[in-house]
Amino acid sequence: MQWSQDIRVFVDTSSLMEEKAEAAFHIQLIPTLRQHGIRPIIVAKSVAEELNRLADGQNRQVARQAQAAITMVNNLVDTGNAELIGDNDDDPHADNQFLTIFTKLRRRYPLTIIAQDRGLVRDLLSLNVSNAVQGIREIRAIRINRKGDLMGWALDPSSRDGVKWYPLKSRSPRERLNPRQVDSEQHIQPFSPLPLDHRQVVLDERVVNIKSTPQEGDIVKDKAGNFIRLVAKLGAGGEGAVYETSEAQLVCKIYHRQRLKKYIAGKLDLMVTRRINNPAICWPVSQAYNSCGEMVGYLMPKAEGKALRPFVFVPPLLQKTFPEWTRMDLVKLSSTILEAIGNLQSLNVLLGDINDRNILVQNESTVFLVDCDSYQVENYPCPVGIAPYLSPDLYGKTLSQVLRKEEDESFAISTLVFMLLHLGKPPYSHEGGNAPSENVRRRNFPYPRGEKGAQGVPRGAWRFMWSYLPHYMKDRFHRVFTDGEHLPIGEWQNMIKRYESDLRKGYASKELLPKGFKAPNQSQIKAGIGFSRMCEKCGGAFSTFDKEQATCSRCIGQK
Amino acid sequence: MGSDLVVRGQDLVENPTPRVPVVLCLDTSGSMNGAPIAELQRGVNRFWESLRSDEVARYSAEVGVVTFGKGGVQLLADFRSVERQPDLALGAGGDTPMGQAVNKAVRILGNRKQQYKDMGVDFYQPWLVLMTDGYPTEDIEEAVGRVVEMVNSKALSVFAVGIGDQADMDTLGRFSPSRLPLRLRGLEFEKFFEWLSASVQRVSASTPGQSVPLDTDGIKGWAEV
Repeated sequence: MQWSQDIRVFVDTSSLMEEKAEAAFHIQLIPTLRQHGIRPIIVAKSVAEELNRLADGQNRQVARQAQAAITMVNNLVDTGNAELIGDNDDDPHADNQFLTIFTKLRRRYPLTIIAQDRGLVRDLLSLNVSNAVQGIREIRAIRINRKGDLMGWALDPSSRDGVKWYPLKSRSPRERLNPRQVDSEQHIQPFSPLPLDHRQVVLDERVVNIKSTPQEGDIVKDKAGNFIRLVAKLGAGGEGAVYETSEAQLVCKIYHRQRLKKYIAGKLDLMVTRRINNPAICWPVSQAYNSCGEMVGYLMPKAEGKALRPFVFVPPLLQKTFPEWTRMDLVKLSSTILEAIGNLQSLNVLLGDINDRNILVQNESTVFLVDCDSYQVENYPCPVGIAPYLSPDLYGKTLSQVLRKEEDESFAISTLVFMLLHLGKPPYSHEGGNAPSENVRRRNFPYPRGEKGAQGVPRGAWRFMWSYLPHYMKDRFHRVFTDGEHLPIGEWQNMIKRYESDLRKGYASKELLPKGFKAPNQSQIKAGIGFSRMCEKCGGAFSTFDKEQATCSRCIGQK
Repeated sequence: MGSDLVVRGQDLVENPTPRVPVVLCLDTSGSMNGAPIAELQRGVNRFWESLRSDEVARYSAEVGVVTFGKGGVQLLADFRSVERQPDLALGAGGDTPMGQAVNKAVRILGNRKQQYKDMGVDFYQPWLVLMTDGYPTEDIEEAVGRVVEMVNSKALSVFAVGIGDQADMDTLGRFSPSRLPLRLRGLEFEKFFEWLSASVQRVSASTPGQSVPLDTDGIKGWAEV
């Protein structure tokens, strides 16, 4: 079936009340509409009124079905997947109203009706034949079958009521998900723009009752209906467990029983409408359904690598993990990570919870961003965040109810870049400091700036790493951490590129873990300042003219 | 001791991970003799193992151990990362000088906090885990006063645990003004320490301004709150 962006999709009462309607909408129809940038499904006012009447009616079973349909429509409207349209002049009889609207709108748009009612479908499809005038667009009809699959309707005088249905071609069961398929032709439609202020939103955080949570060895279904086996559990976190699957390139996250909230289904529906062709981003490629057809998790490309913390952010461990690394690799790694984050930002996606555990490093030019289901997409906030990355502007806010701004992401990015270049030391760590969040709140950035000397720089090699940074990096860090500026990600990308080029040309030191400050210049030596070095025993700074001296005089004295 | 200090200081200089200091204050008095002390030993071993096997906790948790009972009040292990912490050997005997032990625990905690501050190492609110199976045999007022003040000023989080039926839950309650003391059902130390290590791991993944989500449901199954 061909879909074009200007198509208008209507739904009839009969389909809304079909038992598997919700599955059909969420699994097949909405992702397709989103993928083609088609307007939300139109629910005519007369249809809504008919549902209300049926819900109040005598027939209990019908009333219950109508009530379920009303809940579903409200949900579709809330999530921006449907809209109620109509006015007071509408024919209260839904079927007549459809004929009136379709006759009028088909001059402008291709139209699709989702309906079970053969009579209505025949009347609407007949419009295609009776008035085949040039410039009139096609009307199509779809029904939902008992399994929740979409079927096409066609006129057929030999069938009952003059119509018959047929399977839609696009739903080929052999269509496989290929997450790494790089299709440069495909333009990825950005999500709706980021908010300019901290907008409040309300998510349905009620827990979904799932009949069965799949485990190792169980079968799940993807949205195309393929069976996928959960081969082995790779790990479990607070939210869910991740499994290796029978599809070599895919892993599957299954939410813990109490952690699957109602809004997650809608968020995943929205996320899977985009296939992000960046192998660094473990973006959901399909929902995963259990044997009862309940959404229980999602499939995503497999990530391979070591988490930034502790493998990069504990220096002795870094030297074991990547023994060949110099500062050049650290700068390249920063550039690789920024590129992935920037890719998402260009699609109006914020990571929100940027931190050192959901970035996995294979090498300096291959990284994987995981836990993408927590990202902020359109009206779905990122519900989590940790110090020192979380912007202090968000402290005390309920993160699951507030949409973040680009500036919040910018704070996290600046913090991450600082920590990458200082091997895990947070920017606001200082002598006399406290908890990570408290240090961020105090905004006491201890590193020296111009005439202003250092105040409480933490012990260890961090001060030397700082001293070796090019001036443009120091300047940007001060603008963020001292002045409270927000630098766009592009600025950091440019600075990192410049740093990389300076390292290549030999203008900056490649030393990963410098043991002393930059060598003193002639005037410092004349002034008797000498080399500043870090004591190997106590970590304190001391001054010496002897390049070989490794411990400070105090520690030598204690021997 | 001198070289030990250097090692402990070096760790603070090399590893930038924010620390979660935990001090275990354990009853090793005569009444713990036999099965209880053996179980406690297994529990502590399990704690070590589970912290060491977690990639993040291994570099963030620092544990100190003070015992009261055998040999009076003893500093069995001063703070350092669990990776560098030697295995402990617990023995039972003697009285229950709980007050002195808590004073000692608070003192070593204070020292370690000062070292963090001096070195510019971030740290989370320290934890005091107090476990006893009986009644204190000396005055506890001074220790209670200190601990309560620290808890109230959010400088300390206390987990008070009673072992068996004879444990003095009232005294434990006085040390833990913000959280009811737990009474371990039977001798389920291993489960308690597993829960404790999971909670330590959770601290550093918490959102600022929100309290650390402790999995209290996990406790209810095996302890009486």
